[in-house]
Formats: sequence, C-alpha cells, structure tokens
Amino acid sequence: MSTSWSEIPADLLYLILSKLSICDLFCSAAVCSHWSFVVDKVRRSPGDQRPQIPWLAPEEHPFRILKNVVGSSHDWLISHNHRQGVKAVLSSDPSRGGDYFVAFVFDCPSMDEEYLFVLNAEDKKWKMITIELDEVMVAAYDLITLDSTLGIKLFDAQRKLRLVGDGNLWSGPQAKVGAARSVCFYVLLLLVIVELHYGGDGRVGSFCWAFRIDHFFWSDGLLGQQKELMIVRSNSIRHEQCRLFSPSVTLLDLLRIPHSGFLGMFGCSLYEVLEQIGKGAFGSALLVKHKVENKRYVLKKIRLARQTNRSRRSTHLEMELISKVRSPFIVGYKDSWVEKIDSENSCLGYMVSGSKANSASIHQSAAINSSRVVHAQEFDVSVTMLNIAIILYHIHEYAHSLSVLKKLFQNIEPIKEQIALRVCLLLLDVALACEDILQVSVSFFVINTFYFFIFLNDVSFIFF
Amino acid sequence: MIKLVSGDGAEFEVEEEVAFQSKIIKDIVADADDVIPLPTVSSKVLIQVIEYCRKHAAVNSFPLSPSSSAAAAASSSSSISYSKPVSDPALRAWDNEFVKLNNSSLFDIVIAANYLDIEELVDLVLETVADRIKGKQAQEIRRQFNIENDFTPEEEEALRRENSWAFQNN
Repeated sequence: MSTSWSEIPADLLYLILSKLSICDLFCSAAVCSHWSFVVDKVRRSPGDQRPQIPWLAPEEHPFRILKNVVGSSHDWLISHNHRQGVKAVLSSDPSRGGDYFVAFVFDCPSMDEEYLFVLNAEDKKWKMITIELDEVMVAAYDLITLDSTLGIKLFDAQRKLRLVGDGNLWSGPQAKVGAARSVCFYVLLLLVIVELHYGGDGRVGSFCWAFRIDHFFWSDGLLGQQKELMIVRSNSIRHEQCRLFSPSVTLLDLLRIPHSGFLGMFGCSLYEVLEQIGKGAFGSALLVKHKVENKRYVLKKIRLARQTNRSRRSTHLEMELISKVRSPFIVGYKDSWVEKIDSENSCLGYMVSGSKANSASIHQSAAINSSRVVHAQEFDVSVTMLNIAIILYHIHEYAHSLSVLKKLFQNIEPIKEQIALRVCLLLLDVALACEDILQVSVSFFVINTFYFFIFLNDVSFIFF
Repeated sequence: MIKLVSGDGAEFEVEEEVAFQSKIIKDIVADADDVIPLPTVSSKVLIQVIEYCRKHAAVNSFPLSPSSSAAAAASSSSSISYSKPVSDPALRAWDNEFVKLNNSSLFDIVIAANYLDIEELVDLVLETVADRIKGKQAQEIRRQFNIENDFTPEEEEALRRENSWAFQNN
C-alpha cells in the first residue's frame, strides 16, 4: 500500500487529534513519532478550546487523575501515586523553567508520623527535612512562595508565621503546628494573611486563587469527600505535564491547570443546609448557612442532568445574568458552581445574598422560583417589579413600595393570574402599612374577585 | 459544464454547482478555462469525491446563480455549516454510508478533498477517523491505519510510563 496514515499531513492530523478526548490523545501519542509530535502540538496549542476534554474528569476515567492529587500551586496540580494523606506544594511554575522544587508532607501510617520532604527539579532523591512535626495536621500547612528567591513561609492555624525559609530550604527553624480542625475556616484565614502581606500588590488575586485551589484538593485529602472533587468545569484547560522522579515509589506528577478552569471550588462543603424554602420542576431553593461567614444565603439548586441542552444553556445564561446584576433592589449574587455528584445527578447551584435584609433575599428568591422568571429569554418585568416591591416592603419603605405596586396595579391585566394575585396581596399589605384606606379597599375588592374566580376555576387554589 | 481531468488521464464532466463544492475549482474557473487538470487525484478517488459533491450540491440546491455574489453567499453559508454537523438527517445518513470505506480509501479521499478544498468532506472524513481512533490502544491504531512503529522500545516505555493513567483503561 503506497499511502499510509503515518504520512498524513500534520495539519490534517492535527484536526483529527484535536477531536479526541484526552485519554485517546495520549494513546495516539504512542502510535508513532509523527503522531507524537502532533499530539504534543495539540497539547500545547494556545486557547485550547476542545469541549470534550474535562481534564480533571475525563468521562472514561473520572477518578484516576483526581484521587491522587495532593496539592496545587502556580496552576499546577500535584498528584501522587500513593495516597497517604500527603500534601504537596510547588515553589514556582515549572513551565517557566529555572529552579523549582516541591515540598511535600508525607504521612507514614505504619510509624504514625509525618515527614516533610523537598525535591528539587534536578534531584533524584527526596530530601528529608528534619524539623519537628509532631501533632502536625497535614492540612494545616501552607507554603507560600515569595517572588523568585524561593523563600517559603509556613503559617500555622493561629495565623502566626512559623517558618520563613530562604534559598536554603528549611534550614533550621522549627515548625510546630497545632491541629486545625476547621479546614474551611483555616483557608479563609490564609486568604486574609496573604492579602495582608501583599496588600496593594498586583499579585494578591493570584495568590488567593492558588489557595482556594489548595483548599479544594485539600478537603479531598483530609475529609475524604471525593465527590467534591468533581466540581470542576474545564473548557479551556491547557495541560502540560512534568514529572519529578525519585528512586523510591514516590512519584509526583505535575499537571498544569489554569485557574480559569475552576468554578466555585468551595462548593457545597462550605454551606450548611438549613431548610428547603422552595421547589419546582427545575430544582429547589435551599436556605443555607455559610459555615465560615455565618451568614444565611439562599442556594438555588438546579438539576442539570435531566435537562435538555437548551435549558442547560438557559440555566447558565440565567446564572450569568444574575451574577452581573448590581442593583440595590435585587439581591446580590454570591457564588455559583457546577457540581457532579454522580453521573445522573449533577447540580448547578448559585447563591444569592440579601444586600439589606436576609429575609428579603429569601423572600425574593422564593418569589423568583415560584413565578419561574428565571430564564433570561422570558424575563418578565412585572415579576421584577413585584420583587422590588417585596424587598422595599421588607425594608419598611412602604411608600416607595406602594408607588412601585401602584404602577404594577394599573397595568395588571397582561400579568399572569398568579402574579397578579401576589401583586394585589402585597398591595393590600403595603396599603395597610401606609394606612392608605382607599388603596386598601380597592385591592381588597380585587383580591376578593380573584379568589372568587379562582374558586370557580379550581377549588384547590383557594389555599394559595 | 466543467471538465475535470484526473491524474491518470480520465475526463469527468460535471455541472458547475457540483464542481463548485470545491473552492479551488471555483477559483480556477474564475480565471481560466473549463478544463481542469487534477494531476494528484486518481480517477477512483475523483469518482468518489464527485459522487459526494453531487449529492451535497443536490441537497444544498438553493438557487446557485453564476453571479459571484450568490456564489459568495453560498460559500459563506457552507463554511458556517462546516463546524456543525450536516443538518439534513437524510444527508447525514448518506454521509455515514459514504464514509463506510476502509482506512486507506479514506486517506486518499481526505487528501484529495483537502487539495480541492472541500471543507465539509474533509471534516466528515476526519470526524470518521477520529471516531475510529477513539477508545483504542496505540497498538490497535497502528494496525488499523497501517502505521509503522518507529519508536525504540525505550521511548515507547517512557511514553507509556508518562501517561500511565491513559493506558490503564483495559
């Protein structure tokens, strides 16, 4: 046969290979050197937007990569081929070349102790750091790298600076770290520290992110909640690999993951569900408490698994819309993430938080849910206005609320029956609060008529 | 009518809108005569490519006037549909039948289609090939596509070790 696929022009091969998922891509790399070269190119291509490569959760191997991740820094994930409560930190971005090292806490269950190791880029062997590490909880570590001097700082649970390393790693000072039970809490503290240290410096943001990711995998190692690891969306993930060897079984993989690929690392673990306040075909609204901030939020949980692609898109659209809206009268957006608990039950949640009063936010979010004004395409001004009125009512701005409601009321005919009824009921409330007798009587009359019609239509509605 | 001459000298007469599925031919026709030699394309492959173009030209038969504006509109719309699969289910089924060929024929077709710049056909074949690669180990891919393994055993082992998680799926 004169022609062979090994002679395929590189640009065509590139097109083929870029359609493959990550696992197939690696298999293809082993076919021949020409393919391997193109695979390499695919992997390094800028703005890699292949949709079917969720790098952290490839469809076929959801857990293989994830379960060994022991840390992350500088966009890189550090994975380990053993899983013994380890935590690793990378000093600098290996793709930039130069010196980098991995510091690594290793838990030896048989001896019931933890050790700290350091491995340089060129090292062939782990260097053990002899500092006292009793009572150390792996999670309590975080190594912060400063600029290019490779200095390290180690903070303990009390936010105290325990160790400052310079070029000579870990030369001397001792670290004794008290156990930090509350993992989430600790991470936020770290964020604070970093900001304090780098206030005004442009790098604050990136440091924060690094820590958030750290925490994310950390909770895996510590709490064993593997399912939370799946909270990852990764459309634009570039992947590079680099590898550190040591002669023993210890082997670290470093995978590069830009931060943009992550969505809401904290996920559900940070929130404690208090009660369900609404439910619909789309999902449910939960009243939750932030475990750290101790504030109450409304979490809207949307089931993506059973939705069509179109409604999934609109769900994302809705989220985008909500996150962009900044208005004193519309409850603020806090956080959102996609969560994949198992293949049939993936959820998308987003947070709204009340800007002035928590009850208002809850109320509004309940109103949003019950009136289904959620999709951006069918956004109905009447419901928004009603929500505004509700919030105004709750923050005791009755006169203002009444003026909003009156506008709605004058134009009540095109509004859907259910919403119209709500408008009237609220109008009654507000009018009573304003002692506007005329308005009270009008709205009272309208409401009575409503109930009468509803009664005719469907008896069950009377409990509405 | 446009006359296409394959590498082995066979002549094929095709209608303009069929030939114009290829952007190259369209460009050539614009500033040359109606006999187009295609020395790199064998007649066997050309027959298949013409079959494909004929089918697609018939299905996409929106009024294709020879005026350049309409042709430009046609080409732009075809380049939009390029990224998404062919919409017509019947055409899609036909496409699926069309690519049920062995890998070396597919190779010839994709090379020809790439040369003639028929985006839809290139995409169709590449998609098919990607589907055939999916889920296969390197060994199988090599056998299926008649590719020689030019790695040394050490290199192969290194690759395998580097991406061990990807090779473990069986």
